[in-house]
Amino acid sequence: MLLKLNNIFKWVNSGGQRVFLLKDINLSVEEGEFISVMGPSGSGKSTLLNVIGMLDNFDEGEYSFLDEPVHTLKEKHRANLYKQYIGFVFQSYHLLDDLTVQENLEMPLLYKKVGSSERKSLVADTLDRFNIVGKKDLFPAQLSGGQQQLVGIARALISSPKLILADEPTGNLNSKQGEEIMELFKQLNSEGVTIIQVTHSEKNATYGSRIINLLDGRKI
Amino acid sequence: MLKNHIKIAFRSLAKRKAFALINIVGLSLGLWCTLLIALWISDELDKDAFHIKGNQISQVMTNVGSDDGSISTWDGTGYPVAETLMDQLPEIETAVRRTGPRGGLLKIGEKSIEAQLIGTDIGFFELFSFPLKEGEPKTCLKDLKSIVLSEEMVTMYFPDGEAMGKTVDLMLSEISEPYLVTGIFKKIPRQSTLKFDAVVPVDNFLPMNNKSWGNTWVKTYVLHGEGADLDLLGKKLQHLPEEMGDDKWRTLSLQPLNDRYLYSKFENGQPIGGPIDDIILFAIIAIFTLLIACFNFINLTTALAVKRSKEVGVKKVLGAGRGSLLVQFFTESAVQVGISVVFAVLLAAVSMPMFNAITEKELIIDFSDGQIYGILVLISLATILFSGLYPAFSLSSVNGINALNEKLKGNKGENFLRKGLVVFQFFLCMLMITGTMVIYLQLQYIKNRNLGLDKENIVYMPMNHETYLKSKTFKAELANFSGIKELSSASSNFIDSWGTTSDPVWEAQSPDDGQQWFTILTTDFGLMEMLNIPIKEGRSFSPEYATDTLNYLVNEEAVKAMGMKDAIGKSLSFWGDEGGKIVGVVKNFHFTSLHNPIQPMIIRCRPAEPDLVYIKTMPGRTKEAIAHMEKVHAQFSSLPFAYHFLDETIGNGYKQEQKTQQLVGAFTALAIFISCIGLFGLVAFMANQRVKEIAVRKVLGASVFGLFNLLSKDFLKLVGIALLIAVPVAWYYMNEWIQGFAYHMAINWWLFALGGIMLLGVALITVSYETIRAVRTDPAKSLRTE
Repeated sequence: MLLKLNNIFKWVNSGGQRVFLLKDINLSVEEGEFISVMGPSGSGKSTLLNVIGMLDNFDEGEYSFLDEPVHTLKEKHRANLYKQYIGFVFQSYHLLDDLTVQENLEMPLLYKKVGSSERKSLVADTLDRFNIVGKKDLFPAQLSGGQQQLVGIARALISSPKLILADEPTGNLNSKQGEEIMELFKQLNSEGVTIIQVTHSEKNATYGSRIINLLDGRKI
Repeated sequence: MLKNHIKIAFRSLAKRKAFALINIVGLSLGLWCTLLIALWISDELDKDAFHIKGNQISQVMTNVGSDDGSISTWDGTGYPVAETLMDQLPEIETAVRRTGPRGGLLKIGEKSIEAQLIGTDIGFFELFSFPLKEGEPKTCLKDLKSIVLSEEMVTMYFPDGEAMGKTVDLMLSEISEPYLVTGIFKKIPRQSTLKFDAVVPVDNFLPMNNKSWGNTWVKTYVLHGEGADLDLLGKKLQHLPEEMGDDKWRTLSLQPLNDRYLYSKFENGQPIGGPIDDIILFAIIAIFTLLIACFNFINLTTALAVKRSKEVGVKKVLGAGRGSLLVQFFTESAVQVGISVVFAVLLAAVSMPMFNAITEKELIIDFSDGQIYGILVLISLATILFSGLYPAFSLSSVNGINALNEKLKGNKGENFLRKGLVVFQFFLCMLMITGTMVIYLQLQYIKNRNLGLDKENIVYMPMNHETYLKSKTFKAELANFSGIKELSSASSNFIDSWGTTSDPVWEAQSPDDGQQWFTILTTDFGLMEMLNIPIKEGRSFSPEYATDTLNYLVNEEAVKAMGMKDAIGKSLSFWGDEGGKIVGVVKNFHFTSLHNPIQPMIIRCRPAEPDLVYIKTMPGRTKEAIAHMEKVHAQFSSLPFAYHFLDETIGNGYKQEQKTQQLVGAFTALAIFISCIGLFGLVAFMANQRVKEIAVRKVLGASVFGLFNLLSKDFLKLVGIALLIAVPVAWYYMNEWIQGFAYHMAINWWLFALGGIMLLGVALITVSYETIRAVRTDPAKSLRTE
């Protein structure tokens, strides 16, 4: 078991009323799964992803990740956990504009305090694997959207996470580019990486092994 | 990692060139002026700090009480003080007297030199760190007729460099006597306030003075153990003069040598300030200027944070801890401060000659000296910390996921802080601008004040030993030229404060009258007429009355002090003179700087004792007259000819203030400039943020003026608030400062109004440039990006 959510609630107070973002979510994910989270805008897809990614807190419930009870962990400990095991891919790529492709890839390794020589070889391997060696000295603004997302995925994978969280990874891409990215995910999944993606597209959802539908913060 | 931080820092600067430029220009200017002031202060603090035993030496000061309860403090003491202290107080290991430096005529071989001499006791070279190149510190001043020369004198006047054991002739007063060279001292450090060419035993000056307690012609230094209780010691020696039979008005106190230069001003027996006041003033100005630059940095950096939050968010998601983000933002501050320091050092190096000219210093930026690094590291660190602290914490505290979702819009607290800092900047500017104006106006007031004497076309020249001996024929020769209208002499130059005496006794002096202090002016006939000083009662000195060389003139203050109804014809005597009558009362005139009120003065007529020859030239013929003076001087003396203009001398009496005014003015301009570029940056940023709003408003029909109003109102309001807060503070401090002058102008409300309008005007121009640009942008352009 990779992770398990038990009765997760998340809410905000607005105008004296409690608005639920997540309501009684139960979910367990095994290693090697490829899950698509679907639902209309505002249904809580991204919030769920952020909670799983430990970027956001929840108000009630239990969350265990690799048998560690996340809800009781200290901030620092939690950061170490996601630094080690989770990689993120965003709709708008979120590459650092001031850094080159190579430097963007290096970034997570720096924060994990990986040694210089190991860092170099990991970056080189990754550039090679994603076939972007020729672009290593370019800045994000010099790349197409598909290429940027490729770098984003490469960056998420460089520290060999167990889990990839992808928030509408193809949302800003044209259909051909989107297809390529989804193929890539499929391939990664077959290599053993667990993937949870948020998507609007039925077609993309079919790449996954399981679909979770959300509505108003509830699993349906 | 650090390499990475520095790389990012440079890229992000390159990307936001305008903001980086404003930050770096502001910081460079702020650091520049801080650096100059820091160098200046460290030079001031180094004064006389080279004496190894410095913290074990104190100088004995004489406090003289007056009838009205005030106490004046002099740095001179009577001759017997040193010996008495050594006899009576076991805590005092040694006491050394010093007199001078004063001029003496030195004859080495065939050459005559006017040298600056000091007279002192045997222990001088052991007490103070003036090392000897040759000779024994313990014995070199043992014999009365021994002399120790400076290294420079020896190389200049002894061609073979051999001076030890040779004889030189020295004339201290009337006769020239042989002295044996018993030592050579090394070059005096630049930091020494005491400069001299030669040293002789102090007793050689005795014939011109005496051994009484009242004749305070020597400075007395004592050596006490390190950490001695100076308060206790001071109490012990306070009443020593009275115990030893001197009058009760005179008491003694101690001032540590290390405080002597910085705290030179005394009031009621207590040191109240001196150069330390300027040090504090300029330290405050340096801090103000640097603060203003740091505020720019904080303001612009936090304003930009809105744009940089995505970067922070991504980094947090990638696993960046708060610590590493803090390091990153501090690195960015450090990079900008580092660049600014380089510019500041360059600016300082370029401007140093000008700064030295104003401050009359010889400062240099010496990279072989560790001190400059100390100063640079210190001010850089302070700047990095101060300017980087808030932005770093604020930027790194951004919530990662919120930042990515661009929910971040800048928070209220930050806006408040930004406004507060702008207010504070302009508050400081207003203080400085009004300060500059008050100093300037007070100096104008002094320049234009009627001194009660006519200083135009007056040239004076100091007499030397040679001209003094033949003063009668010398003066006659000088006067024998058509370009010279009048000639007289006086013992003072009408600006320096002179010593006062309580010696005079006068007719019908009431025994209840306590101590009264008088200034004595020694003149020749005709000085009052030359300077157009009106005689109020009686008459002036005149050669027609043979006894006038014994008679006196007094000023109005003196009449008051002596409590006389009708002063004319009353007898008066002092300093063991024969005594004479008061023949006239002169109207009060200023004979010292306007810092001091006019004191009681007694004027005596001694044509045979000229110190300074005063000459009034025919208008327009001053040059010829000076040429004539030089020619006559050359006939009488082989020593260099020197002359001064009285009006210049009087002007120079306010050099200190003029210096302060120039520097404060320059720093004020700088501070305003830095504040304005900061304001400019903020306005540009805000206008940029509101581009769409402006376009929409414009499309909906807003007028250019209305939009301008909308954008600039907020900023001008801040400047206005700053001015309002600054006025009472400025008023208070300027009143304090102006009290230092016995005669001063009144501080008017219009002064603050003018300062405020000037500052508001500058702010308005600054704000206008960017807002007008923003308002005039074609709305289609800014809306198209939607």
